[in-house]
Amino acid sequence: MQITCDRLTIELGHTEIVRDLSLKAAPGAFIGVIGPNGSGKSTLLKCIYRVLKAKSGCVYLNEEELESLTYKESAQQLGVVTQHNYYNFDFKVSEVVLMGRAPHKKQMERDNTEDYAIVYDALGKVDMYDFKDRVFSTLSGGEQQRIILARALAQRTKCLILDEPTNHLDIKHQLQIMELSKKLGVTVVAALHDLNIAATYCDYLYMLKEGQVVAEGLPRKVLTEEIIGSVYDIRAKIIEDVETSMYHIAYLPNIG
Amino acid sequence: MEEIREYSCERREKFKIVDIPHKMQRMGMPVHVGISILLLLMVLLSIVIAVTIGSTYIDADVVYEVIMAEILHKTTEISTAIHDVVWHIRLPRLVLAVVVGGGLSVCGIVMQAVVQNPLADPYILGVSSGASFGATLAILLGVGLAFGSGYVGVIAFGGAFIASLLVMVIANVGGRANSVKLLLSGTAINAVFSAFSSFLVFFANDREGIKNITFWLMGSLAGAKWSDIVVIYVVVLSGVFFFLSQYRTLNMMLVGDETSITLGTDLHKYRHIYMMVVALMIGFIVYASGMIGFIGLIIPHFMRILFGTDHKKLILVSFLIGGLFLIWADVLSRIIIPHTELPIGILISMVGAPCFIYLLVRKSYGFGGRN
Repeated sequence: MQITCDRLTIELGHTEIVRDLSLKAAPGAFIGVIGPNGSGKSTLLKCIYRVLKAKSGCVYLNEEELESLTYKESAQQLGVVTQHNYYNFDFKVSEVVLMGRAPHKKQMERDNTEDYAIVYDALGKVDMYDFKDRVFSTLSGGEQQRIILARALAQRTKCLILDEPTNHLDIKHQLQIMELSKKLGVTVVAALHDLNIAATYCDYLYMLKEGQVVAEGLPRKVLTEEIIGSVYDIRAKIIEDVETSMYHIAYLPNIG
Repeated sequence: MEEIREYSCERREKFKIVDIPHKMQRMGMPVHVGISILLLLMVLLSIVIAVTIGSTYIDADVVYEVIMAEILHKTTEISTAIHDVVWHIRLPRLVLAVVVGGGLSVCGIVMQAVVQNPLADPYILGVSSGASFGATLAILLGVGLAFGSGYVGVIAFGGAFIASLLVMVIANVGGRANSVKLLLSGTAINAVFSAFSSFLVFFANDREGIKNITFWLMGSLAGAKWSDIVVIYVVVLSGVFFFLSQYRTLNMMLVGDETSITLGTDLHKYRHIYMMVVALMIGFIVYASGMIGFIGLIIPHFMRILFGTDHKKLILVSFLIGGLFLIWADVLSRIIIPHTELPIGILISMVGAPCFIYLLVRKSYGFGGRN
């Protein structure tokens, strides 16, 4: 499934947060959206997952205009992991994940064994099967984040939208979530803070600043010392490890 | 995708043994259904027992003879006075208690979901003040006398319904309604209607009328009539069955609008439908029994402590427990002080609140907060 954003402009309370932005995620590609705080990453993603409406421009899933789909139809194709998931009521973990099956259900349809199998499968994939009977609100931030990913997996969609999926996670689970999302082979659009994570896992990067794309391309083309320096207003150094041919970004302190 | 399928099959095999919900589904009966059947039997049993209890002593055999005679259309030699006490006073009251208690509990659960707030009760969105304003108009100014002896209830029903509609309209002014806007407009409408009620009371100079309003607001099942009960059962049970079918959307309401959209449901439409259905159910309940408070708040929480938050399990058991609770609360209110009937609302709060507090303290129930 291909996601295309065509010249999106998004306003929040009369301020343009995203301006004339175009983005394309080819089927099966892992697309990273990076940029400093307030650069419009989350706003862009919110527009793709339909919580915000664009002032102008359009989002397409394959050839179809997103706005022409019902919410149910789009939820069958887009799984979403957002940043803030605080619930005022005590849900069990398995109940939260089971909600991921909702887009595939008719109003009166009951949950069947297949749905439970998918739920437990998703929980297994994020390493949280043993937590299935725990109360969601008693889990730590990182554990909650993994449950929300499991819910998106339970949707069995061809695209995933991840809004800073590695927030609150320890290193192991940061890598695990990224690897898992990549292994699924679905189209992923992820807003990421950690440039090293972006360099390691993304096929293609969009660097945003003040609501516009300032650089795009393969990670090694976008994550250069010059571009990082000018966008984030810091000094960065790129280190390439000979042994693993890994690409690392080090941030240099201004003092000393 | 193929890979995922394979993985899930393999998992399914593995979980067959340990997976309890699975097992029960295969047995054809989830726990909550079993409990519901048990509770239904308890409700019936409670009616049968409670009908023998009352301020005038009537032998249990005589009570059952009257009921059987009515059901089987037979004639008996029992005096009309006793017959009337059993068939026209005690039994309808108990039957009404079930539907009022159950209806209030279910509406409480739904309202808590609609406004996404554990403090909500069935009356929160304008219903309480709308109903009391209606009752005040009826009692003090004689509005609606044309509706016959139940006119106070009819006008209260109207007040409650109009107030909920107003809350919905106001919450939608200047953008789509959300749970916070609903709560705020509910509070505002409550304030306006309460002020009107107070205004009337202040200028009425009618001691008897004011006393009547106070009594009416405390709620009572004493006015139960078979003809009303039929209508109320139809309305409230239809509502309960409707909400039984809506468990998935109700669950979704608790996780909020944004997440719901990503899961394929736009809550906006459902909120309005649910509020209308609740307003209708509560309107009829208020018509029959005035304003019985607290039950619509505590039963939902009791049930969440016992059964969790999933509405699939909550709705039916809450209806039955609510009914059961109100049967016995009503019995207690009739016998606790000899020759006096304590208003049931007072009793529920006096007995229910401490129990509720006890449960809160003993069980680590976080209302969704972190324990």
